[in-house]
Amino acid sequence: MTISASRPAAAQAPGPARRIQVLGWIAFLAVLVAEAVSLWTSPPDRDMGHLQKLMYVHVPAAWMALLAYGLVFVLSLLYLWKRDERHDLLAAAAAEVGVVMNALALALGSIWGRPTWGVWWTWDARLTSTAVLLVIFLGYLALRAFTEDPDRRARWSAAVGILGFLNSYIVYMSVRWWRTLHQVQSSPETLDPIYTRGLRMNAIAFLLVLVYFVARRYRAARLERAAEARIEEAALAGEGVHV
Amino acid sequence: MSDWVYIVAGFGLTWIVLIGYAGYLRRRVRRAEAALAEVLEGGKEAEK
Amino acid sequence: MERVRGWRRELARAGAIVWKDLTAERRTRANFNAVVSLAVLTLLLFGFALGPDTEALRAAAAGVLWLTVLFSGVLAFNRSYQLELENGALDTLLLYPGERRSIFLGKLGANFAFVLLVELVVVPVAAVIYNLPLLRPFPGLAGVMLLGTLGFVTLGTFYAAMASRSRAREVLLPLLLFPMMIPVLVGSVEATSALLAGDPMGDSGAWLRLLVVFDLVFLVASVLAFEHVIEE
Repeated sequence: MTISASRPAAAQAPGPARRIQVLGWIAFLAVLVAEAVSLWTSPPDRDMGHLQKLMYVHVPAAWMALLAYGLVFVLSLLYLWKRDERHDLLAAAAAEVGVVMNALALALGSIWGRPTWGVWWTWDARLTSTAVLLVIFLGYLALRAFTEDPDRRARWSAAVGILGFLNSYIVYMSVRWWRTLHQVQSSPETLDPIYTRGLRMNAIAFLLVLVYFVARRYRAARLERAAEARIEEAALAGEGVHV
Repeated sequence: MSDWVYIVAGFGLTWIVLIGYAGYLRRRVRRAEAALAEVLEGGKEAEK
Repeated sequence: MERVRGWRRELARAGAIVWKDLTAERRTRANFNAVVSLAVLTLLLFGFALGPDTEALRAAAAGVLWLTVLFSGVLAFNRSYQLELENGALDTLLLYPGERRSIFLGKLGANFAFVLLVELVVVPVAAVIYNLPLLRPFPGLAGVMLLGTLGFVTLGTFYAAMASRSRAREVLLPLLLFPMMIPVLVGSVEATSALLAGDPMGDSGAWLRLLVVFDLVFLVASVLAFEHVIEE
């Protein structure tokens, strides 16, 4: 009986699941609407023509990846400070979603780069540092997968998440200097207001998707941890009975 | 015209990834729920 | 006054660990010899892979040199904890009173010395087989080697504290470490090749500053984070 009293909250609370599902439908609908509107309204770009439309998925995906990694950074610091398991599980959720968004952004950048630059890949500062971030956080996920003890996993991955995020800016700066030294012009940054509006709409839709993914992934992590903790408890209790 | 091939590929890939990952999460949550329910069942059996 | 004495005691502890590890390394020496042999072999392999054109080889030499250092150095880091883990000495080390960070600084110092010694062999060998001028750019080159190696060893020592105690440590350490090393790799290679070419544009200074920033940021971050990583 004492066991059920100390059961983790996630075990008996399926409450927010419904709300998350609703958020999911809204998020996907928002992406659909944002894409439709922005595809419909944006005129072909002077230089890139219709290819400019790829910006509406590529850029939001990259932003969401960065946002997710920023979340990992903050949650990792919080975990090391407060030692609350929920921060760790949420950080892991954000990292996985960030990796998905990051991979998507890279693939889209490649698809976009082929017709505009004529190559699938270029050693552009932003593209390259995004790739480095992807590998850094793949390492984060690998570390988690290879570490069984939950307390250890939480502390270690928090450290890796913090250092990885700290490095992202240094990586970006170093690649940029590297490029300028080798005299390659990077792409211009001006954007017409009509494109900005479409981009903003898509970014908000992607943000909803990001929140939905993280919430869902977090729920999975909570349930998995609850089952794991329960098994540990049962094992300890079982030992007590037999001895 | 061939520009549209890349645009369709980009948007198509986006939807494949988003829906694919949503499906993966769905399966993962289901599995976790089932595993937890099983563990809790087992606990009750043992208590009897 | 009290604080100064505390710092001094910590440094003494770190020094003791450096001394202990280096003595153990000197006694067996087999590990060092193996790593150096592998590094020299790597230099040769790059030479074969990149072709016999002397000019092309010389142009690629800085990159080859640093990749060789990275690939041979990574072999040393896991080992520095593994020996402790095998005979349970890490637990004993942790039991000693005092700050945990002196353990990190000690391991860092020992690894730093180890990799520098490897470089002491690798750089002259590379200079011979890739036909590089060593004496002219010497002071700057030594600075690049020290700063680049410090950044590499700091994060290597830090990640090895985790990787060496996990499953699949052989693949996990490079997977965690190498992506983090990209600023160090870019900075060191660029500074090295600029110096080898006589630094006509004065580029090496900017890259040295990048290395200093990287070293400082990650030295502080990993010393702070180490206590959370090592606690059991």
